[in-house]
Amino acid sequence: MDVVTETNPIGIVAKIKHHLNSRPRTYRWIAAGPLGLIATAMIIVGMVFYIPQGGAQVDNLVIPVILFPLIWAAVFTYTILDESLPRLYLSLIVLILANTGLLVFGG
Amino acid sequence: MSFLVQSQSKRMLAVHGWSGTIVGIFLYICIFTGAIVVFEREIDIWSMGAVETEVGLPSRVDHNFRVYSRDVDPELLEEVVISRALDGNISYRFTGHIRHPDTGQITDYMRLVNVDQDTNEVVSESEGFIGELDFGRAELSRFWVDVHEELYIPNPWGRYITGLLGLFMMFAAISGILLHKHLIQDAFLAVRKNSRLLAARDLHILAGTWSLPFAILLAFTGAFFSFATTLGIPVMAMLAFDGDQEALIAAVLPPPAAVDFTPASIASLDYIMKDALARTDGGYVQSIMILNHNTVSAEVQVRIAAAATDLNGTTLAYDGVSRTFEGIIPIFGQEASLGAALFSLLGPLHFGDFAGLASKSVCLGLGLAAAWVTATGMLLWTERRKEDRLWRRFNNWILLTVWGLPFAMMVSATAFFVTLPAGDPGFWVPWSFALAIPVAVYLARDPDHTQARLRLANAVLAISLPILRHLMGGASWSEALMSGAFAVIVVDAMLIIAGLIMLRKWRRDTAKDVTAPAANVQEPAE
Amino acid sequence: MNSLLIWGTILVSMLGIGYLNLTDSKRRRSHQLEPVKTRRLLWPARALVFAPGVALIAMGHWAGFTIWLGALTVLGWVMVGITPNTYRHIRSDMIALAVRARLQVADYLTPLSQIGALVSQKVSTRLVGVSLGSRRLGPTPADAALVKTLEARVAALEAQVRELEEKSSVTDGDGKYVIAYPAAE
Repeated sequence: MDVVTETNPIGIVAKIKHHLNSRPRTYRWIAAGPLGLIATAMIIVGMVFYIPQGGAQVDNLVIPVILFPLIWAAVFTYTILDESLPRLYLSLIVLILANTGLLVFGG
Repeated sequence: MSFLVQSQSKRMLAVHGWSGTIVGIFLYICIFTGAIVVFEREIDIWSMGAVETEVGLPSRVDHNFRVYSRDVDPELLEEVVISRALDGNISYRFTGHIRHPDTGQITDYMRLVNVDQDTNEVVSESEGFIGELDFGRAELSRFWVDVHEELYIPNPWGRYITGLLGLFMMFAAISGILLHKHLIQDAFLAVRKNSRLLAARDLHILAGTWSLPFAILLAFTGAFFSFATTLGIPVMAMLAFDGDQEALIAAVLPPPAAVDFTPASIASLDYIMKDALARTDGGYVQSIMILNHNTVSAEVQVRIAAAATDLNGTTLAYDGVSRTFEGIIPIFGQEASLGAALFSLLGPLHFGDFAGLASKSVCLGLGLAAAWVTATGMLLWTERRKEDRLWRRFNNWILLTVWGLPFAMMVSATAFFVTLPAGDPGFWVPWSFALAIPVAVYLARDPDHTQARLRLANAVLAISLPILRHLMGGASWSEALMSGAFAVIVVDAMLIIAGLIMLRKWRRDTAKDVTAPAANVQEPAE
Repeated sequence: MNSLLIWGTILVSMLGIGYLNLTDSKRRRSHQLEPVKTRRLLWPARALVFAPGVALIAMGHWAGFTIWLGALTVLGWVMVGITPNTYRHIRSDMIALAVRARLQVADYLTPLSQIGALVSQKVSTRLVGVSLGSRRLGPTPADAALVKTLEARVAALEAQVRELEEKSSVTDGDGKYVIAYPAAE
């Protein structure tokens, strides 16, 4: 077991993991609800930057808005399915950060 | 075929079932009303006593257009739309963009002229800002559509809720696939009727299996229509356009052309219609739009109905002065795109209105199947937990919703016909629906008789509605046949058939009550 | 022409679904029907279900394809949802209705043709019953009641024919034939 101290980053990770797993139901709700919605919103905004514009120069804007409900349903299903809460949170946060990165630096 | 480990299944089932029961009641309301309003146009014709004889525009509109646009304020010649109104008349809609004196915003101001096709006489005229004008839409179907689209909850909250319902319906279908082990084999499942629990389970699985592909499709397209304006576009605008929704819409829509107001006379609309029909195989013109009438920049756009093999019609653009064909107008941008192709599929697939009564009947069937899946799913959940008093009571609420919704809808239709002579069905349709709810609750006071009593109430209403419609001055069947208004007969016939089926079921229900042991003897024969 | 094409494709696919439904061994077992003895043509039937859809796509008939697929899921569900017992109930109800209508019409015909009608009715009842395989399952209560009614009716009519044969004809004042029948049971 690692020693949890303020200077030990591994300790912080373990602490977060422990905290997530201590209230699985609450954190599952948060992931499936608000966090899932934020992740979906960021995914569709990120899509603006990598979906080809097409001849009419609108595909990158129109397709994400059309796919929005499907993506939300997929994210929601994933938040229910993932066995490990830390992995679930890690992937959602990576999704949000990666797409925020696209938004900030991609345009 | 199950890919899930036990704890995953448990969570999936918890969300599928638990929220399914709570959300299910609203989902059922949304789906059932949606299935009915597939026939919105037919219900309009049926309820308003309008007699529609033809679809699309006649081959000659040019003369009347010239006559009736002569006296119109030039500001309203910016955009003129000619189409056929529900009552069979040809409607000329003159629109200009004028600053509203109350709000100070640029708003559409319209002048509507309805002209009889045969006598060329003006039947009705009205003028006003959009939102203040009565387009002659029937109050009955408007109310039912509002319930379907936003559960009669003010915008945007109603849309958020129905969008979430669509989202949940998609999840229910996806989790149904993942949870169910023998999806393909169970397509031919034999429903076991020897126990209520098994019967509810089998009925739910059977209907769920068959309706799965279209349940996902209808839920997805429905969620899109609810969320596009309330969430999809605002989120996209907020994050990618610094919150400027108009900038986003301007980036997507075709750019407006510069207008040269030098006077010029418009080419023959009849010639343009004929040319447009020759270039497509849709068969008839749905509408014509004239932009910047009487100027050099005039443009004529002709909307042609979908061809028999297609889901969508086409819009052709013509130079308004030289009447030269300029091309097919794309939905977005300046040329055809994948986004526009996808977008143009959503409407036909959700409304099922691309091939007349054939596609509408199929859409009604799909909607009723989805409503059935929702209802049996909820009943399965409560049947499993009937030892618990709370769930037993909830079981009664579900029956109350399942049978009470058609009851309340038909009460609102009754109120519509009764108040039609007084001219205020717009007020009474929603109120009668609301007043029907306590009546349905009263009929459902005894859980053992909820289903039978509400079935009887439904049967009585369904059979008496066609009679009431006729008594209040609606067209008789022979009149409807003579004028080709088949919608009147179709809606009447569907009501009477549904009423007779419910009456029969009610008689079976009550017969079973009296001779309960005898009814059980029959069961092993299944 | 176009709607004929669409309803035709739906009909062809429904034939395939109907075959699969009728020959599904698990389904037959739970409805206490005999298993199918001949080899089940699983793949040809599946091909029959999906071929019209493929054809519609090949034709680029997207409206037709959408209607076809939607109609298939609705009609297939209805077909599978109705149990053989319900089919039997519907059949016996239809026959009872037909007999009742026939009896009322027959009241205006001669007694001999009435007996003929009843005999043909009984034969057709048996034929339909055989084709649905209900002989093995035995008659439903509605069937039994119907047979009882019919037998009583036949007996009454036969008695009347004898009576009529005794007096060759009965005429009223205007010379018209007047025949009085016992009221229907």
